[in-house]
Amino acid sequence: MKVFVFGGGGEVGEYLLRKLAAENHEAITIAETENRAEELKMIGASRVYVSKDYDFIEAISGCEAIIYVAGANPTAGENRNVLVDKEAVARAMEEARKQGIERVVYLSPARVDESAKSQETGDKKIPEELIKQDVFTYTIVYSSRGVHKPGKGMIDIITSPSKKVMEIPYEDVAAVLVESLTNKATYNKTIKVIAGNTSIENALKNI
Amino acid sequence: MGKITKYLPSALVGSTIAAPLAYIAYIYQKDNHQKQHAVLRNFPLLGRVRYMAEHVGPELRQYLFSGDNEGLPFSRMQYQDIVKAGKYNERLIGFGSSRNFAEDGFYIRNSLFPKLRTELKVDNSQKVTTYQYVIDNEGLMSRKEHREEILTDPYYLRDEDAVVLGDGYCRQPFRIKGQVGMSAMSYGALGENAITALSKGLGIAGGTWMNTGEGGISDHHLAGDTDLIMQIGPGLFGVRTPGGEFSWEAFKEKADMEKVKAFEVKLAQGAKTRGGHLEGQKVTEEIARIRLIEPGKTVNSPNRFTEYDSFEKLFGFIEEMREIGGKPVGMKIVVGDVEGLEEMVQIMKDSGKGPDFITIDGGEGGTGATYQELADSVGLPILTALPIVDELLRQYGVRDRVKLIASGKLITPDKIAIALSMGADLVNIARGFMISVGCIMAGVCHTNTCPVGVATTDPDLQDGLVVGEKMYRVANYVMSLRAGLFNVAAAAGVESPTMLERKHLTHKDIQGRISSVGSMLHKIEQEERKEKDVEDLPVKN
Repeated sequence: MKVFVFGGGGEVGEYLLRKLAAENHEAITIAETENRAEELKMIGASRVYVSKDYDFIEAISGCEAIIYVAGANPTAGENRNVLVDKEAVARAMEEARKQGIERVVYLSPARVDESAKSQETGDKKIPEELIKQDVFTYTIVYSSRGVHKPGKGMIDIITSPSKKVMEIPYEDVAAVLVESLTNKATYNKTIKVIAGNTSIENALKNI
Repeated sequence: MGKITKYLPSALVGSTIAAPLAYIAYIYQKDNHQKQHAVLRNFPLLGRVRYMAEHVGPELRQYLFSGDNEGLPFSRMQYQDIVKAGKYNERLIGFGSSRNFAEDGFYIRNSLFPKLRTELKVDNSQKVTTYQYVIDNEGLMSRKEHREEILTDPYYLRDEDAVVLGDGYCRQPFRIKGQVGMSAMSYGALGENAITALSKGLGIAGGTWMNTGEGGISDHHLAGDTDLIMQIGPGLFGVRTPGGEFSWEAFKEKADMEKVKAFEVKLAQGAKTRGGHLEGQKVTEEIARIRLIEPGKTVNSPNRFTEYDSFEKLFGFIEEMREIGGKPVGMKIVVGDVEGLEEMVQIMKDSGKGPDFITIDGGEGGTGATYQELADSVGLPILTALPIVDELLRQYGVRDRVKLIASGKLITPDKIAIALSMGADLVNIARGFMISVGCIMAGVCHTNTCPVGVATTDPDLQDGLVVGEKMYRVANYVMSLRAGLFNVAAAAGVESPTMLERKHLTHKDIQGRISSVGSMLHKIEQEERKEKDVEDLPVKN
C-alpha cells in the first residue's frame, strides 16, 4: 500500500518508516532538509519530499492511506512551538478528501494515562473530530508514554483511561499503527494501547 | 557461673585497655630500635602517621580533598563524564561549566547560525540495542538502581563522509563510520575480561575499531564483532619467527583475517623508548601462542626495529606489507624531533611511498607501565604535535595520502573536536575506555594488582570485572562521544564533525587575547627562524 506518513521524522515516525518498509508498504513522507530526507530514506522511506513550509499536496498525490503521527505540523521538528497544529490536520484531511484517500490512522498526542483535563490541553483532541467526519475510514490510537526500548510486539488494549504511568516502546506503537492500516477490526474505532501480554496482531483482531 | 558474671565486665574493660597499650609499647620499642627510618627512631608512633597518610593520601585526595577539576591525569569531573556516559547514558550537566575560564585554552568557534538537528549529515538509520542504568533512589550510603534495555542512535558518519584508510593505495581499504576508536592496549597489559568487554562493547556500538597493541591478536580481541588494527612493535609479537625475525608467513596469516582491517607499525613511542621487557613468568602458554614466543622465557624487545633504521628502509617495509597483506599500513609516532619529521615527509613526497595513516601519540598519553622521566618529558603533547604534522604534510603536498589519528587524553567530545579541528581525521582513546570498563585510576597498572581487574591478569582480581555488564558501558561511551561530536559540529555551523577545520578553533591566552591555529603555527616558524639566527652567531668563548 502507498502510505503517506505525516511525522515520519519523529520518534515514532522513524520506526513507522522502518516497519512499513519491512511490511512491503511504500512509505512517503516530508523532511525539512535534504540531509534529513536522505536519512529518512536510509531508514526505509521510499520517497521523501523536501519542504520547509510543509507543502505536502504533491507528495500526497496517489497515496492510498495516511498515517498521521500527531505533532507533525508546519513548525515541527526542532522549531516546534505548538503541541498539535489542528490547522495542519485540517489541511491534510481536506487534501486527502480531495484526492480520494479514505484510510486514515491517527496517533493521538493525548496519552492513555493523562487526565481528561491534560488531554484537552492545547486542543490536542480537536483533530480527532475532523478525522472522524464523513469520508474517512479511521483508526485513532492512544498509547501510553513512548520510550526508546526494543519493541516486544506485545500489547494490551484497554477500555478506560489508566492512571498508572506506563511505558510502551515506540517500536510497538509504530507496529500497532502499521498493523491497524489493513486490520479491518480497527476500522472506525478509537483504541487505547499499553504494553502488555498479547501479540499486536491478536490484540487488534479481537477488538 | 556467678563468679564469671561478676568478673566479666572488669575483664572486658581490662583487656580493651591493656591490649592496645601492649601493642603500642611493642611498636614503640620496635621503632625506637630500628636503624632504617630516622623519623621513626626520633618519633616512634607519631612517625607512623606519616606513612599511613602517605599510603591513603591518593584515595583521600581523589575522593575528599581534590576539587572536581583537580587531579591528574584526569580530574574527578572528567572521570565522572566517562562513567555517567557509559553507565547512565547521560551527559547533561547542571548549573554550567566548572572549567576555569581565566586559564588559557582552546575553544570551538561557535557559529551564529548553528545547524539544526535535521541539517546534520548523520546516519542513525540503524538503532543500537544496549543497556543503561536508571537510578530509583539515592541515599547517603546506598544507591538503588536498575538496568534497562534501550534502543539508541549510534551517530555514524554518512557513507560519503566515512574516513577511509588506504583509499586508492591498497586492495582492501578500511572504511570507518565513526571517528573514535580504541588506542593500542595489549592483552597482558589489560586482562582478558577487560579486553573482551572492550571488544564486545565496541562491536555493539559499531563504526569503530580496536587497536590490538603490540602484544598481538588474542582471542579476547576477537571476542566481539569489531574491526581490528593490528599493531606491530619492535618485538614483532605475533608476526615473528622463532629466531625473532619478521615472519611474512605469520603476517600473511594475520592479514587474511577478516576482522583485521589495517596494520600499524609502532616506531619510537614514548612509553617504550626504553624497549620492551616481558618477564618469563608472565609468558603463559596463551601469551606465548599469541605472541609467537616461547612459554616461560623472558623476552626483551628493542626500542626500535633493528632492521629498519632509516625512512627509506621503513617505507620499503611498509610497501611490502601493503602489497602482501593488501590492507592499509600506518605508523605510530611520538613527535619530538620536528626536523626528523620534516625529513620523513620530504622522503614521502620524493619517493611516493609512506604510510596510509600516522597515529600521533601525544606525550601525555599512556595506559600501563613506563618510567616517570619518559612519561613526563619525552615527546610533545598532542595539541602541539598534531598541527605540526598536519602542516608539514600539507606543505609537502602529501596530506591527501595520509590520514592522521590523534591520541593523548582526548576523552570527551570537546577535546576530540579540538583535535579534529587541528587536523586529526580520527582519534584514539585508551584510558577513557579503561575507565568505561571500571578503572578507578588506582595508578597500579604496572603491578598486576589492579583492584578492579582491568590492568591485571590475576584471575581473582579479574573476577570483579563482569564482561556482560561492562561491554554496554563501552558501547554507550563511544556512542555518546560520537553524539557529542555532532553537537559540537552543529554549534560550529557544519553538518558533520568531519568538516571541522582549523578555522573552527581559537586559542585564548591568559590575558584574554585570541589567536588562530594558523597564526600559532606561524609564530612557531618565526621562533624557529630566530633560533636559527642565534645558532649562526659565533660560538661563545
